[in-house]
Order: sequence, then C-alpha cells, then structure tokens
Amino acid sequence: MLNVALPKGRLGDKVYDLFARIGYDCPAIHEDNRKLIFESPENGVRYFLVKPSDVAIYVELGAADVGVVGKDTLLEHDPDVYELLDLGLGKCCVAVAALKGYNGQMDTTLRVATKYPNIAKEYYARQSRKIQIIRLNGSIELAPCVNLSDVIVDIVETGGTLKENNMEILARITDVSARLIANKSSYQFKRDSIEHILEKMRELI
Amino acid sequence: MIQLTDCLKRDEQAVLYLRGLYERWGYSKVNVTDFEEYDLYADNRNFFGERNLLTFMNADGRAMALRPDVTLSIIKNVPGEGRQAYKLYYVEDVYRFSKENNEYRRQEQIGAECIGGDPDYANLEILGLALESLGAINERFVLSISHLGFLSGLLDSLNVQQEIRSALIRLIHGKNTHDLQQLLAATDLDAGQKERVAALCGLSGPFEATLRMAGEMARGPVMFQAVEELERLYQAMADSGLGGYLSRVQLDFSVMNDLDYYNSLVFQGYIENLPKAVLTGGRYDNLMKKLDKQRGGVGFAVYLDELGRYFGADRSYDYDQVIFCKGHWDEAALVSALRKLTAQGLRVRVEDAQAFPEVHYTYRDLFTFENGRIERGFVPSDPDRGGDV
Repeated sequence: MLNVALPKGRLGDKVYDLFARIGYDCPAIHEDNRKLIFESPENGVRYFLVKPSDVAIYVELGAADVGVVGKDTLLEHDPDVYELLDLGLGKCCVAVAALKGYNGQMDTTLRVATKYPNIAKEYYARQSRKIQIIRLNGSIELAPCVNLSDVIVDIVETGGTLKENNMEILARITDVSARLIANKSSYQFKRDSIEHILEKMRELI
Repeated sequence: MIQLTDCLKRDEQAVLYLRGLYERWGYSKVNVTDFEEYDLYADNRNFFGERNLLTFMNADGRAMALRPDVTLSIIKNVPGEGRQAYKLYYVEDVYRFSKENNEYRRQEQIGAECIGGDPDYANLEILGLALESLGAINERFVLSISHLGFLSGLLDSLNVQQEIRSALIRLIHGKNTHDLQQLLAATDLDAGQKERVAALCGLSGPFEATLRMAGEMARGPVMFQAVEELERLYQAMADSGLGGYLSRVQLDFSVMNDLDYYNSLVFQGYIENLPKAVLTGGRYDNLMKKLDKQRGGVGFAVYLDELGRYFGADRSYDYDQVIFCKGHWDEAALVSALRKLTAQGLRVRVEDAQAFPEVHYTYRDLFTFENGRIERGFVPSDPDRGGDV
C-alpha cells in the first residue's frame, strides 16, 4: 500500500488527476464529505488530504511515502526528503514586492513581511542587507499598505493582488512549481512502486 | 537460569545484543567524556553537520561544548601511528540541534569504529558488523552504500566553481534530477559531462547492476579506482558469508557525507517502517589527516532514539501480572508470591486494591491477594474464596 499526501485544494485536485491517470484511481475521493483519508485497496493506494504546507512533514516523518508540495515550502523548510520530479503544476514565483514608488533606502533596517522567513533571510544575507523579519500567515500584501513593513516576500501567481493593492515586484527570488517528494526510507522499500509512478508521470507531463 | 533480558523492552534488549555482537567481533567498549574543548568541534563543524554547538565555560574559563559526536573524541585519543588497529565501540549520548524542535536534544547512539589496520579488511569487517546490527533489529532492512571517490572524481573533472559544486552535491543528494538539469543547462560544461552528472543523480538500485552502470560511466583514475574498490567489496561480501544479506544491499550514489572528512566508502541503513536512517557510517581518512593522524578509520553509529520509537508499540501490556492486595499487607507472603512469579521470568507488580479503579497501566493477568491467599481476577468481596499462595 502506497501512502500519498495530497495538498488540499485546487493543486491537490490536479495532482490527484495525475495519479488517477497513471492507475492510482480512488473513487472514494470524489464523495462529498469531510473525510481526510481515502483508500483504494485494489489499486494499492491511500491518499491523505493535508494542508499544503504540511505535506513535507507527513513525508519526512514517514506517515506518507510520497507527496506533492510546492518548491516554496521545500526551500523554506528544507525537509530531509528526496525531491524526485517537477510536476510543472502550480507555477508561480517567490518575489520581493513593495508599494509602487518605494525608493528602497539602504541606510535603514529593511522591514520584510513574509510567511517565508528562511527564504527572505537567505536572499538578503546574499546581499549583506540588514533586515527585520515580520512573520505573517496571510494577507501579506496588507503589511506595506499599513506601514507594517517596507517590502514583502511572497508567492506571486498572476500579480493581480499586488496590482489591486498598488504594489509591484522589485525582484524575483525563485520560480516555484509543485514537486513530487518521497520519504527516504520508503524509497528504499517501495522503490519499484515509486519509480513506476515517476516513469508514468514523466510521460504525462 | 532464565533469560536475563527477557523482561526488558526490545530496544533495550537490542542495545545489549549489539554490545555482545561488537564484543564478540573483538571490539572493546570505550567511555568518552561528555564534553570537549569547543575548538575541537568548531574546527570540524561540518563533520557532524551541526549548525550550533551547546557551549559553556568550564572552571578555568575555557570554552567547552557538549559532545555532538563521539567519533571525534575517540579519534582524538587514539595514537596517530602504529600497526595495531584500534577496534572500539561505545554507547553514548550526543547533544544535537533539532531543526524540528528548534532546540537541542539528547540522542543516544551505539557505534563501532575501526582505526588503523588494513583498510580493505576494516571496511569489510565494519560493513559486516553494520549488516549484522541491522539484521538483529529487523530482517527487513536496506543498507545503501556509496563511494565518495566516484562522486568527487566526477566533480573534480568538471572544474566548476565551489558554489556550483556545492549545488550539484546538494541536488544529487536529494535525487533532484529536474533542478540539476536546469543548473547544468546554465553551465558551459560539455554535453558528455552534463550527461554523466545527470546520470549519476539517478544512479541507485541493486548493487551489481548499478555498479555495472557506474563502471560504464566512469572516467579518469579516481572514478575507476572507486568502481574497482566497490567491486572488490561486493565480491568480498559474497565470499565472506555475508552473501545472505546481499539482496538487502543497494548501491546508491545519493548517499553521502561531507567530502572534507569522508573519502571513500559511506553507507546508510534503513529499517522498514522507520522514516529515517537508523545507521550511518563510512571511512573518514580525511578527518584523520585533519587531526594529524597517520592512518585511516572507518565506523558507524546506530541511532537508538529511532529504535525506541520503533519498538515502543511492541509491548501489548506493561506487566504480565498485577497482584492487588486487599486488607492487611502481609509483606512476607506478598514478596514470596512475587519471587515465585518473577522466577518464571514474568513482570509482576504488587498494588494496593484501593488503587484498582484508577490504575493507568495495562496487564495480562490480574490477581487478588487477601488473607494470605491469591485468586485470579479482581475479587471485590467474599474473602473465603481462593487458593493458597
């Protein structure tokens, strides 16, 4: 039985479709209920629906053998897992953004609002820039509007939210997409199943 | 004579078994101090891969650190030269920074080190001990082996900047072929070099077949030497009676340790249903050189915390029998009953009957002791029933 951690939401639906197309269908997942575990014994697969940022934890600690997670989460938390495949889904980028017209003065400590403190710290450390991290969990774009921060480091998909809040991208830090990851121990014992998934998915994407 | 360790938890039994195993293979137990001078660790920080050290001042005002690693302390105290090999094992705590908890944690390790002696023989002996150790824990294990000479031979031939080299190592370690391809595309390496690096990233699987593929992609003396050493090692494992384990031995070039310290053989052991490697080891001749020792060393450590969790759910109850004492505590009769039962190898607990409704532990059998008589089950009243102790 292969345990798969899927991120809840739109990305999870797309990822499940990929798994279903390569033979890991689990009809129960389409039922309209609040279950978080779905199992298909005939296809040898069990799906867990978890918060996207938690997928890597489930996989690293072995509750799931494989999972799908954004590269942003992998960069932020650096879990000890194998990153086996770029699924090319959920493409976006992690970027620095600020209110339009922000002049970026260099003589003060830069206040950075973000839910990615490690990515932000590493980015500014490379520039030897002194920063103060303001750790937020959502609505990051609000921070510069209410003078909570000078800039934000956040995921940018279409740039629509930035535009609506009178903000613009200052720099792209890294491109992001969904990655298939595997627990290092599970890979040793379920190598054939995991390699089979990889091979089939490579054909699809 | 009853088996002395039967009543212990299985992870505790495993430690005793492993100690016996290492003693039988001619290894002596060594005790090392809980802390060393800070400089020893600060100079070799990458060896144990820790971001931080738990440091303090000792009475003389010298900076000290709680031991994050045992191997360094052992090497430090072994003579730098000589023909006699040092075969040592330890059961010790180490103090390491835990990323998950964002604080330091004490971890228990048992490990074996062979310092000096014939390197090929030492490699095989240590690998044999590692295989026997894993097999003793659970026969469903995998030992993944790599040879860092193969990796460093390839990377050296590329002549890339340190930053790119580090990125390549990180991506190969994570089996991350897609980001590796992207990184390679941005370099001016020739097509053959790019192909070989990408091929190395996915190179893992059954030992013999994978080694054949490695042999085909080897270029230059360092890579060829690595392949040859692995061939010799595999043959020696097959010929030495370790052949029964060979189906559980994989060759996996993503297995690695810091190249500044480890130079050739490295390995990691996994047990099915345990999420992380329970055993890691390798040959650390480069570390020996850094510490001015004129000989090599090879060893491994088993992470006992992982085993504790693994065997934790193993026991279905806390005690074999609980005797609830009602009324007068006839201590002589109770202890006499306790001795009889424990002599059979049972785990027995004597408890006050008044505690019966609130006990939190689990047990297989339940007895009531009253008026010098013992009876199966909990007897709320009627003291005349029951048999003699």
